[in-house]
Amino acid sequence: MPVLDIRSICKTISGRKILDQISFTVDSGEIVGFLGPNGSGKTTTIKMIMGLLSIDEGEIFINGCSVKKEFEKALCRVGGIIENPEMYGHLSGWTNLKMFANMHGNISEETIEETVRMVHLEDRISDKVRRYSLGMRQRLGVAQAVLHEPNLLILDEPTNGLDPEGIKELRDTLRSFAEKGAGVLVSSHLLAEMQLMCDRVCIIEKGRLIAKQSLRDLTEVQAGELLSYHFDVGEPEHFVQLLRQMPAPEPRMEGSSVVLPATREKAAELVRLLVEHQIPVYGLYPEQKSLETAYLEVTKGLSHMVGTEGGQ
Amino acid sequence: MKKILCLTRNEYVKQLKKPSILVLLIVLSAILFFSPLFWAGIEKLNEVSMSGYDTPSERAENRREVAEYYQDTIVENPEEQSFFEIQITYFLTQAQAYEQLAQAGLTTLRDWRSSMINAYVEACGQVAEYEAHVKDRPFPAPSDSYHFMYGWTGDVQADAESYQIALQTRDENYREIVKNDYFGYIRQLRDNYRQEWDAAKQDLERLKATAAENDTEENLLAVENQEWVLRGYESEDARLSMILERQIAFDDSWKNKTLSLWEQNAVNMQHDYQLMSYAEFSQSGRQSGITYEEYRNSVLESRSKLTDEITLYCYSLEHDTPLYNVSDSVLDSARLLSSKSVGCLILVTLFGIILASGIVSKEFSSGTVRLLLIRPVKRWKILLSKYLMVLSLCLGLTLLTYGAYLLLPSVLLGGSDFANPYLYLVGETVFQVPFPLYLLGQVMITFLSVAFCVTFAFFLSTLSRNTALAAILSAGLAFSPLFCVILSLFHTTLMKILLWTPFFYVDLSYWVFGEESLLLSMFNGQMDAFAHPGVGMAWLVLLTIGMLVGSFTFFRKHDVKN
Repeated sequence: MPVLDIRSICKTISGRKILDQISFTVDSGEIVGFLGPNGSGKTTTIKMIMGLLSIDEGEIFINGCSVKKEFEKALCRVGGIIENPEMYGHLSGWTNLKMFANMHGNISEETIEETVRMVHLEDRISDKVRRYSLGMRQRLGVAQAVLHEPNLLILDEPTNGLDPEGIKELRDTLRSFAEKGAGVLVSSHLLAEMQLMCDRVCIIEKGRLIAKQSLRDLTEVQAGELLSYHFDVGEPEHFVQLLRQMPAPEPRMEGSSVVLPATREKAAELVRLLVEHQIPVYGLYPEQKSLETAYLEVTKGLSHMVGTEGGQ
Repeated sequence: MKKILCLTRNEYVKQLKKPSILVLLIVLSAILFFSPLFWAGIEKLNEVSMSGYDTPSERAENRREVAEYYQDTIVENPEEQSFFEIQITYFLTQAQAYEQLAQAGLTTLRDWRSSMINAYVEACGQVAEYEAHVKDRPFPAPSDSYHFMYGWTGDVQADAESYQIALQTRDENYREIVKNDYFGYIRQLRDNYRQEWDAAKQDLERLKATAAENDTEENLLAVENQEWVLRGYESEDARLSMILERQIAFDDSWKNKTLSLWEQNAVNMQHDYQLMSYAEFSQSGRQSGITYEEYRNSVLESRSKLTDEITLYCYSLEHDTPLYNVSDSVLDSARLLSSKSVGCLILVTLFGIILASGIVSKEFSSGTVRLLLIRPVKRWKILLSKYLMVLSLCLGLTLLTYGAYLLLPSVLLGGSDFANPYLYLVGETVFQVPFPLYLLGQVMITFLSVAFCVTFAFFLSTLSRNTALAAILSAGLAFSPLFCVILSLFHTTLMKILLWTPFFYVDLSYWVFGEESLLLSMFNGQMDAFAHPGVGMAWLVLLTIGMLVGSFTFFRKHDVKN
């Protein structure tokens, strides 16, 4: 049973359809990235999962409980941050956490202390939140989200305002949660971040889900797909001359490397050619297909086709 | 239930840790706690400013000083000499009269003889003025006729007669003052009174006979009115008899204050609240906006108010149970002091409004609502805990105030007065409840109004999410009875319309504790059946429920978009 199961939800706000038939799941132990440009419906979806917005059509199940019908039961093992986590500025970090803990019930002071240590706020926890920096507020936000040991974490743009070290810590935290069996849904527009963090991504555009697949699938190189290959060779000019004699795309020089687009088969053929002409080969680097490239491919080129598939 | 208590505690933490709210709360509690002191202080200041010249010798000294002042002024304004001479005679004579009273052993001017003392002193003045300035002079002298302190006609014989009467008045009063026989005086008063009463009874018989011959509206009404006058005589006779039977001495005690209120009512019964016939009513020009029926009801209501009060006065004297409101001064009665302080509870209303206006809307404006509503807690529970927080804090403040109203007056004026019960009338029967219980009732009925205004603020805050709007409109509601009264003064029809709205009833204590109520006395007889404290209470309860249902329905379904 998936931790989070979203089934064909729709949302219309003031006559405009914000979400149209969105369905996806988050399994336990998995970190799912929720990608999409601004205004595509990421936050709306997350707000519907957390009960801030009503569900017009469709159903959302968390741990098998319907958010519509059994709100308290569904939400009791969910932690989340939505947009900027606004806390009560006139209260200390500790009092804020204590109040949220009260709302969940049965959370001991030790657990709160442990959580505070986990987000490295122990020195400033009795200060008023008003005096916190943005990064500290984000960390306190993470603390309130994980306070009650949820098995579903939902984070909306969690890396906003965090320094690189903070981002790495957050990544580790999420990973450790996933390893303990929690499902994690992270929305972000920072693609590089997602690539490091997520097992799977869902891509949403204009309220429609246009792709949901594992990162490996998304960035996998298909047979016949062109990639940029960097050939680090001993006599690059010679190699370029050889290339010009055969039907191949125009190569370009980058330092001592020759760069040209090629399929995997073509690359193998070129290595053979280099060996035949006794040109020393120091290295051969295929350019990795990044999530960014994949994202652009999906949102621009393939959006129509995959979109239909995603809607099913 | 446990969850809701837990959430309410959270709300307390959130609100009370705000420095502004905390400071406001502390200041407010202090003001409420010490408000009886405030009233007592005002009264004390009044008392100080009114004291002085209470003994004959003090008064004599004062009159002599005035005379000396005029003596000095003559030197500066010789042309006004004759005027000043008359003034000097007047004040010197008064000084001498007071000195004479002091020599006769009178120690205070404020006892039952005060009217005799005044009559005596004035008669002395008149005698002296006649002897010094009127008797042997050609009169009227054109320039100084208007300077006299007494009304001389210029006719030698008539003025001599006035002089003789003044002499007689002077001597009679002096004798009575020196004799100082209060009960004898009352007995004499009662005898004179009974003669008047007999005459009034004969008038009634005559009027009845006329009405029997000719039963016109006017004649019947004349009989009714005369019967009312006779009730006044009866009441005054009962009052004087009570003084004699119970030998109630004239002093500053509550008994004499009760007797004096009784006397006022009895006098009013003899002279006021006569019913006009329809024809007279139409001609009198009093029919501004009211019908004859309403006019008639208002007179009858005023009449029954007078007699009801007398029933209470009589009961109070017979059972040795002081009424708490017979004195004007809160320093005389701990019960009056505490009951008067209840008005300060409007401050609780204002505080509650400030709190309720922000309690929902500020979660939205600060964005904290996004972390609040994602908890495994149904929304109605969150809203309910907020409502309970405001209401329980207001209730706490109200009860604290109640405690202070029992405690402080006891400390200031002694607690024994609280042992006296509160008396009230149902039909013709007098009932009593322990005063603390009555005060609690008064406080709790005021709390209903507090709760109503707070609910309104809460409702607006939930729906509009605009703190300022909720606070301003709710404060307007809290003061709406006042606005209604002001509007009603200008327009009777408007008043009748307003009586159908809840605005008049926002402060229920006006309506329930009607004896001292300005509002109720304004609307004597002019209220139709709809204007009734029960109706007001029904309005408040229904509207409160309606607003709560509205708030909860809206909040439960509302999308948090921002």
